Order: sequence, then C-alpha cells, then structure tokens
Amino acid sequence: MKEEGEREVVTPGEVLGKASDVRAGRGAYLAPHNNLVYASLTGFRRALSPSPDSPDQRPTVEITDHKAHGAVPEPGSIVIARVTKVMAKMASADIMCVGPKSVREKFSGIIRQQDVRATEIDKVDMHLSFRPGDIVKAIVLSLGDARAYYLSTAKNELGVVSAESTAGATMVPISWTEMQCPLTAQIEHRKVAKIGG
Amino acid sequence: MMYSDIGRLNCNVSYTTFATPVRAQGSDRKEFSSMLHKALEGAIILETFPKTTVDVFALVLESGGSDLPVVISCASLALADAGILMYDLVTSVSLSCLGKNLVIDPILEEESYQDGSLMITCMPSRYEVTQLTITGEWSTPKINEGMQLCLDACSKLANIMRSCLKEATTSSQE
Repeated sequence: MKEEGEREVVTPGEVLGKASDVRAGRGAYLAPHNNLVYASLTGFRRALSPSPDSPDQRPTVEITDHKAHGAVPEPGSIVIARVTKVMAKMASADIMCVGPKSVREKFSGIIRQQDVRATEIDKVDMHLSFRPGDIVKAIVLSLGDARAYYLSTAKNELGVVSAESTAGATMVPISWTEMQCPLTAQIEHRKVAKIGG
Repeated sequence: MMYSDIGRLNCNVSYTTFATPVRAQGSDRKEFSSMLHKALEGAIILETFPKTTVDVFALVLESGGSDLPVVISCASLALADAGILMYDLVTSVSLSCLGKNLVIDPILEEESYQDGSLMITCMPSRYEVTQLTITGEWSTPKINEGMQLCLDACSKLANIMRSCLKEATTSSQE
C-alpha cells in the first residue's frame, strides 16, 4: 500500500469518483442508486493503490479525519484496564488504553468468570484472579450490555500485568497464578499475564 | 438492558428569553426539536456508531426570522466539523409568500405578515429532500416556483458551507 501525495480537502457529500474507478475506504461510501462514491467525512482525501497481486485493481479512496478523536474500544481490540470491583461472578474494570492510545472518556468493562481463563473455566475464583487496583491487559469480546464492554483475559499473554501488594509495593510474577511482594515476600493469587518471551 | 445496534440522535432547540422582541412566546417552537431531528436523521450514517448517542443542542440567542432553516444548516455544519459520518451536508432554506411575492430567507417582520410559508431541507449533492414543510394557502404553480427557488438556494448555501469547512480544516492544520 503506498500513498499518493495529494492534500485535497473534501466535505461530506462530495463525489470522489465512479464505483468502476475507485473503491470506497474509510470516510467514504458507495451510493448504490447511481454507483458513485461519496465522501462522508470532512478531511483529507487519500488514494491507496491496491497491492499488485489483488484481483481488484481499483484504488481505494479514504478520508483522513482532520481532527484527532479519542480511541474507542471495539470487539477484538487489546485494552489496558484498571480493576475497580471484584465480585463472585465477575470483575468490573475501567478501560484506560485501547491498543497504544489512551482513551479520553471513561469506558467501563466487565470480565465475567467464564472469560478469565481458557481452561477449567468453571473452577475460576474471581477473588484469586483479580484485586481492585490491578492493571489488566484484556481483549474486548463484544460491545457487551448498555453499561459495559465484555472483556476477556483467556489467553497466556492476557491478565494482570501490574499489581500492588498490601504492603504497597509492585509485585513480581512468580508463576501463572501467583505474584510475590518484594518487601514482605507474601504471595498473592492473580491471573498473571505472560509478558514478553 | 440492551443497547441500540445503531447510533441515536438526540436534538434539542431552545430559545433564550431575550431572543425575540416579545418575551417568551410562540408554541410552534416546541416542535422545532423534533423537526431538527427529522431533518438530520436521514443524513447521518447511524449504523457506523452502535451504542452511541449524538447530541445536537441549538440555543437561539437572537431570533431574526427563518430560525429553523438556520438551525438545521448550522447543525449539519457542526456535525461535519465534528467528524460524524454523514451521507451529505444538510442545507435548509425557507420562503414566505406575501401576496403575489415570494420572499426567500424572510426576516421576523416578513414572517409575521406572510400568507404562507415553505421550508425545504435537502442533501444538495445527492439532490434528495429530507424534509418539506408547507403552511398557508398555495397554488400549485406557486409551490413549484417556491420549491425551485429553495432548492437553488440550498445548493448555493451548500457551496458556502463547504468552503467554510475547507477553510477551517486547512487553517487548523497550520
């Protein structure tokens, strides 16, 4: 994918081309009644040439928004969240980052008991997996209900990435299920994320 | 509780108490909010933001006539500037019938003497009308003439709105 050097500003409703010549990308749409591609955003027009081996050789036009928007979680995105409340069947968390971007508004998420681990999902004890204040890496399962997104930590690389012990120190992971406080050597249970390696 | 699979649009039009020469009158303004909603909902691509509500609040500080068309056009300009996905800009123009004359963009005084009024809201580059309001007594050729006049004005207004948006976009980049 390479970008052509043009900086044309377009506004919603402007015709970008015929459907036979261009494909509608982000910020553009195809009107089926007259086979024209229109812009749906205010921003800069960009044409992306197709990869040489693709069967469709039309370039894709997309509009890059002129304003930076805050990140919004969507199903499949990896988020960093802070656990706020742990209950018997679920834990609630506030989403702080979506991918590498921090969010502007508050988004709340719920990690249900069956979504904590990949195996032996009915034996998961929420209180032995999370504590309020833990920083958790999770994947967004779905838009959830009206209040919260549904999150999952059922992967090796997902789970608690940072947690504070009761003594106030940042704990060190020692196994899949345990973290140890460097000050008191006390061991606490968590759903530990495998970082790196 | 389930959320909506498509976005929702929430509109509210209100007036300050000092907006009109006569303090706090007019009950026809109660329906302005729903008319703004109807005018805009067809233009916004609500499918692209599930679980979300778009709020449009319009507060009229000083009323000089043709309020609703101005509010609708402004709201669409604001939505386009905010980066909400839309099929097209929405432009709106109203017309008053005074005896034999048609007066476009009537001022408050002209509106108070009008025999009839006509308002068209459209998506100019798609040439689609999203709303049409006609009140009073009209003859068919008059309606025809009035609609042509309004649609013409709508596309002119759209050109001005587009150049405003482009100016704002390029200046914000510098």
